[in-house]
Amino acid sequence: MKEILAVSLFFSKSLLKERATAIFVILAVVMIAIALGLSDINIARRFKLLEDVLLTSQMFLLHIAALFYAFEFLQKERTLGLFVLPLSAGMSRGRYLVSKFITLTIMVMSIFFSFLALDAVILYFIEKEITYMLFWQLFLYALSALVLGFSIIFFSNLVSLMNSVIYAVALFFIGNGLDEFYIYAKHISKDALMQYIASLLFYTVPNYSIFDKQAEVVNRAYISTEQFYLYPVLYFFALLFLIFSASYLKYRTKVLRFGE
Amino acid sequence: MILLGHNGAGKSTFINYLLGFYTKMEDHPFLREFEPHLPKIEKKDIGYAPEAALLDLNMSAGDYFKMISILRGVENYDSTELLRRVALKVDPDTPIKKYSKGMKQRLLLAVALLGEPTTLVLDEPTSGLDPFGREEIETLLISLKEKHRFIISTHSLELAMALEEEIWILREGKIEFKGYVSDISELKRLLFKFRPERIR
Repeated sequence: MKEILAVSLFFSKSLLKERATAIFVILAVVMIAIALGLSDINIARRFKLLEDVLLTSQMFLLHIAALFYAFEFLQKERTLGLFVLPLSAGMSRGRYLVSKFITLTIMVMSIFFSFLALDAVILYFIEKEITYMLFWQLFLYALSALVLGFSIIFFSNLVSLMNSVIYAVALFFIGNGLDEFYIYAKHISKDALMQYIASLLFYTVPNYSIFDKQAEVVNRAYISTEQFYLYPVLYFFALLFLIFSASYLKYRTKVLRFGE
Repeated sequence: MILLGHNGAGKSTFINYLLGFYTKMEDHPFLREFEPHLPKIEKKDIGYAPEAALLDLNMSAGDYFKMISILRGVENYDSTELLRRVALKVDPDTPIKKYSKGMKQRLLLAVALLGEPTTLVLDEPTSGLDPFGREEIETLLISLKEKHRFIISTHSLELAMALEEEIWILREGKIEFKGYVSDISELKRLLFKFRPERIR
């Protein structure tokens, strides 16, 4: 564990020094300013629009951050051979792979916590209450962003880096519309082919819509505890396990090239 | 062990195979030839220095020492002393982006020396350096030969002779010569003898 942590912290420190990290936080502040400008407009509920703009922009930024850090790390790994020194010093491939996943987690969670701190202060001053549900939704977006980043790491074992990003982003878009598609296939169309496609997608594409309860959150609508707290977290860990296992199977025998 | 040979002879492939970057024979056509010659060395006994271009410019010498010391299980080390051994006069916290190419190569040597490994594995340590930088690194390597064994790929015949290690000459993935030579002219003659057809 000590080895994994040392390598993860080394990689994270390097990524944190990238200018993009500061840009993500600055963009979040800009979006907060825009959201504050809209805070007087009441649609259905006071502050609904403010919360909507905040969550949407930060959801977007979290996913962009995950995509950027995964891409930047993998790019450096290929050109600079980041794996060379850890592996030549006796670290196993499995442990090195774990440290890649942990590095991405540290980076996305750093962005998440900085957003959380900003939101907590701003919303407390405006709404005069601690909006736990909003914070939990932001955390679910961070998990969704991590799934996107992990998918890029997984695909990078099989295809070029650019294609890895394309495949992962394509899955993200499909996965975001899965809930609606399942409802359409099972309850509206009821066509056998549609239902077959729905069940095929269910087992092959990560269901990103599980992490999105924004509409219910900003409308203060009822969400069951299981749907809001339990299922997304369980689903995330199940996906993480699957993505890591599949990546490990490929990575343990992969030819490791660098300087490309 | 000094690995000599033309570009594409397989020197870097041999080192990468030794370090475990290839796992299956099908990964590279040279591996079957190299397999019986591969020295059995524990990874913890290896200090590896790749090419200087492979350092992360966002980081510092201190960051590299910290990570590698944990991986090698070295509890106590002195960053300043390590830098002094490779004649690198910088603060351990100076970002690597401020280093020259020669300084980066020295830093890699310092990282390789951390924990006093018995074998130093170096892949073309003077590649891309100007004559002054090259001489500095070669002098440094020669000063280390008393305490360490070398597995080094190089095009420098002077360095190969000065290190007094066994010489291996590779040609298109085959180890054509293994042994010691008495002087540089004999080494030159051998290298020309084992140059590939396309160069002839």
